[in-house]
Amino acid sequence: MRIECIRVTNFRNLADLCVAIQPGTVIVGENRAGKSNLLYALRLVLDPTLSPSDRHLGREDFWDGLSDGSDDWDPMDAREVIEISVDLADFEDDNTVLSTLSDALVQSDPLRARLTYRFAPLDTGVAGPGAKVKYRWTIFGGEDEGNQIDADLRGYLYFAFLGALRDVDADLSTWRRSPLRVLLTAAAKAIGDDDLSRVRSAMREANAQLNDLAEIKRVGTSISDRMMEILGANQALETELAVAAEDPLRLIRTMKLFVDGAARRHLSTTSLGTLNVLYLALLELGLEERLAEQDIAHVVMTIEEPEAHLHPHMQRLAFRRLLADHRTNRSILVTTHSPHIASVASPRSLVVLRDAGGRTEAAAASDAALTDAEWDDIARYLDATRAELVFARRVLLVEGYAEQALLPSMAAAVGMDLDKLGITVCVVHGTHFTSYARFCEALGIRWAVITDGDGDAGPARAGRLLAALSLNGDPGEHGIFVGTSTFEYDLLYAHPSNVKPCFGTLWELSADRARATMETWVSQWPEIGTYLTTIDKAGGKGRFAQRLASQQIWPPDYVHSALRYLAG
Amino acid sequence: MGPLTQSIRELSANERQWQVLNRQGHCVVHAPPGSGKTKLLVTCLAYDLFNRIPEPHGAACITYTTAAAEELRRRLASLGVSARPSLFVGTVHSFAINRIIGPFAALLGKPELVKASIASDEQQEEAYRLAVGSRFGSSCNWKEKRKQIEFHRRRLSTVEEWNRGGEGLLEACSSYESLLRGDGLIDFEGAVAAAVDLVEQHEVVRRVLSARYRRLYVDEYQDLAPGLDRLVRALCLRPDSDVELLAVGDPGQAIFSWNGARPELISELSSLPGVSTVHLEHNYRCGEEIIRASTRVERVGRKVTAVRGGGEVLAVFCPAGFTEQCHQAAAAVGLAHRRGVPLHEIAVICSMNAQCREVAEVLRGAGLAVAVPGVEYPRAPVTLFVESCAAWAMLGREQSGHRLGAIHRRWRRLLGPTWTRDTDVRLTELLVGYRDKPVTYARRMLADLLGMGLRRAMARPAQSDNANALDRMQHAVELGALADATVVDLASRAMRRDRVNVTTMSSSKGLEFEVVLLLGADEGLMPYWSSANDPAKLEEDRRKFYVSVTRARSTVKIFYSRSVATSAGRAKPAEPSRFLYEIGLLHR
Repeated sequence: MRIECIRVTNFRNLADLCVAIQPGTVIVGENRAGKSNLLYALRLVLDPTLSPSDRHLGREDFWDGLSDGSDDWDPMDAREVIEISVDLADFEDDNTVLSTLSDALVQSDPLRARLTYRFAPLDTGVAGPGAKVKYRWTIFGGEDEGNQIDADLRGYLYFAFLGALRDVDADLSTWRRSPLRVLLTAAAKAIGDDDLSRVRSAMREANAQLNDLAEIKRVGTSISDRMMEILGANQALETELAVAAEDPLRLIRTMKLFVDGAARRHLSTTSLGTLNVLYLALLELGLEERLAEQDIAHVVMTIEEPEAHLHPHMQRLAFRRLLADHRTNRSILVTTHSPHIASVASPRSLVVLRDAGGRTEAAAASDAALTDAEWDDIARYLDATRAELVFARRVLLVEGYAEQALLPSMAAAVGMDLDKLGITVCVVHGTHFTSYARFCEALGIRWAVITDGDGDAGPARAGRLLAALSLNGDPGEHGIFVGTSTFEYDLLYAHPSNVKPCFGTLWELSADRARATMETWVSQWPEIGTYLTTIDKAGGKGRFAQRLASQQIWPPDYVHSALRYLAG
Repeated sequence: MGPLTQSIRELSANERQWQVLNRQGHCVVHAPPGSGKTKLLVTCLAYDLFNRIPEPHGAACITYTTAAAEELRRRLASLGVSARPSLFVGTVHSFAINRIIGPFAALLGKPELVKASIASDEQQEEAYRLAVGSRFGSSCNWKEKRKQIEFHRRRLSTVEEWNRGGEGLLEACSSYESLLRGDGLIDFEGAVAAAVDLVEQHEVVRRVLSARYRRLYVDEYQDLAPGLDRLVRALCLRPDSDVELLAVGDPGQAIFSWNGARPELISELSSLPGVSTVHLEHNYRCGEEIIRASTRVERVGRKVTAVRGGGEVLAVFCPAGFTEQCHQAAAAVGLAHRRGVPLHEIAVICSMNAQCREVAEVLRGAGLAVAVPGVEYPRAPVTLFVESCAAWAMLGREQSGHRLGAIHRRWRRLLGPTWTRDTDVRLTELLVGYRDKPVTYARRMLADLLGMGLRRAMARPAQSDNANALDRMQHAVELGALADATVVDLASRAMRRDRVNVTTMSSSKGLEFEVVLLLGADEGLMPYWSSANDPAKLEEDRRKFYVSVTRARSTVKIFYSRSVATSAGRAKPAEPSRFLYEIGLLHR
């Protein structure tokens, strides 16, 4: 089974949101973009730990945009409705899930089910002004609100919510909440009677030995004596010191996790980040146990901003494993601010939430029409670049490192600041812009491309890109900007004051033999071939650009246009 | 607009229905066929629960069959009513057992009643045979005596009435009851009688019940035996009780007095002080001509206003006897079907099961798909459940017209407290698996379901009418008429679409069709020969005829032969049914 999409109406800043979900979805977005609200919306439908009164929402839970602007406006007087529905698919071959969702089917071939939480005024048959409005929440299957689904049944789709910045230590030490409980209980059930009685006698022995020590005996006696003194012989409580109860099953329940080997240090001595990973590991094990026992049919795990206190390497390690694991009885949803987590997610599963004037909009990468090979390209790219693209508001796609290195100074020359404008420069290392443009398009990221002219080749490339994106007209209108020849050569012609730093830098990097050629450039600028050969001999375009970037460089027109396009 | 508001708006277009919704105090509604009484009842109940009965108080709604109760629950849910512990919707037996005996019997010193299990058909038969035999001797026709005893027990007859019924009946009854008691058993009649006793004798029972169920709704009042009437009177009409009553029924459609029902109770109720009576007048179902004709038979002289125009009522003479009637009926089905009436909108109604079987054969022979519900086993929630399981598994799953969700819901209701999530999964696995198996017999599937928890669930007292229906089904698929039936055969019984319905007059109650073909309209069958000299039975046969005719929206054809078949199979001359004259199709 998997969650196919979530639809939310009128809940907080989720005015009318429809998010397509992939296996192992990672949701990114700036603060207040609606990430936590989306997870809470999902909990309203699925989380068995929410109480009925948690599900009874209040006026503040309605989307503000519903208001007519007056001070005393109340969404509940206006009989507004909050609705959250979750579409589920791919459970055809899983009889356990099919049984759970049989009441929620909305489509039969292939099977598809829908669970809906609805918070709406009750139709009491009394209408008109002055009638008291009573709200009620229901969770129903399919399209018929009369078809209510019991908590009992919903609990079969197990929902685990890991909130941000949880007190993991406290959770682990409370037996009822501890994910260790499922594991220990299952283990205890499997232990044989002989083994249990061996433990019992060993424990009895340990208790006896300790109590045999004179010092301990003295403490024990003094407690008993004092109780006797206070309460008298008839009512005194019988006390006895022991390390732990001798009943092995009780003993197992009191077992705790320790760290640092033989030192057996308490968990609270370890870092919060590691504890989070430990918690996740225990939870996973416990859920696997319950899935195997058919105690639950499917697990939906939602994890909110797990990056806190966790080193980037550990973020990448833990979540690469978790997100890549596409077993069918588990759905995972992660919200994050961390590029490290986003970079190890499958790019198809990325969802970006954005605030658009008080309402959240969602963009899903899966909407991009890419081939498997192209998706793989993007995945490798995101992994290598730590997913910077996903967190950008505006992206300038460039061919090589030289453009990337020089763009900040070129922007500065025309009075623009890339960071302030939220522009990220992404190097494609080639001219295969199409898949990147499609990916940005799907995620709702404004993008532009700059590419070399290379005679007729550049305009032709731009034309192909337009066609691939099903666009018409002038490439510039759609953010595709083409140079004249090659970036480095265009730089030379971009502005008279570019000549000096370009030639100067090249002179500095060149050996004597090259310098001899360069002396002729004073009267006659070099042909493009000669110029590029000289750059190559001086250590390559990268080295040249890196050095040049420390100076003031004016952008060629097509680069300037691209920056203006993105800033606009 | 919400569904309840919508429903209320529709009621408001009918002055009488609107009057019922806004009634004050006890109210009895006389509802002729097609007058929308179920919708009225459900709407009133939903409206009252939301606006007049604050939680934790509730209401009790008593219906004639468990199938009707299921339908009511479904309609209540679609109006937004969710279950509350103090809302009861079910049969009078279930109310007596689960809501009266369960909570009160032990409290009032009768713990054995709570522990008693419901006697199965065989156990009852055995006890009757013994009790009748010991009083009347083994040569006596014990089945006949059993009918008489059951009749009086349902009627809650007084000693005088028992004695008028015949010497020794009351003694045989007591020995029957003590035989059951000795085995820790009770039957429905016993349970209702015990419940009536608890309510009538103990003020505390009345007080608690009337606090819990502020209002009482009763459907099909004319078909209820006096037991429920006594409960109603104790809860609603005593000076010290204040439950408000809404009773709906139609004396004109009472067809169960042979079974102990007393159709006159609804009229008696109407005449009590403090009870208002509303006569619904609109028939939304039948064409004008059908209403005009049927009203002549009914003889009550009430006013029924047609909403639809048109309608036709015809007599078809088939001199060659009942077999010809069957062939003529097949021709009539073909004709209607060619004119665009779907087969499931056509009903063939006979007075007896044997005739149903015969006409079904002829129809099948004419290449028509036929549904004959209730012949081999009764249509109860549990038997319908088994059929729909078969249909889902073999005839296209979700496309079969049977939804897995509905199957699971019924499964949960049937299993009650014995249900676990695991049983849901096992049911799904079973049903999913059949498609890939070779031909499977229906008995195999039933055995699988029984083994999966259905048998255990049927042992609960609340399920006893289901249990009896299931016993009959099991008998039919193991040894009876369906011994060779496959799961596909069973499945096809659940498919009502595009099949002609063949049903008895009694089972046609509550249904409606575009075309009704009524067979066997000759004296001896209609009315039945034994009714001719018994005015009460004759009345009841007349009402059956009335009920059958008013099932139709546009066309009624009544077939007769001027002869009936004897038990030896020979044709015996007979007059056409007197009802054909009364309805105005034949003239003397």
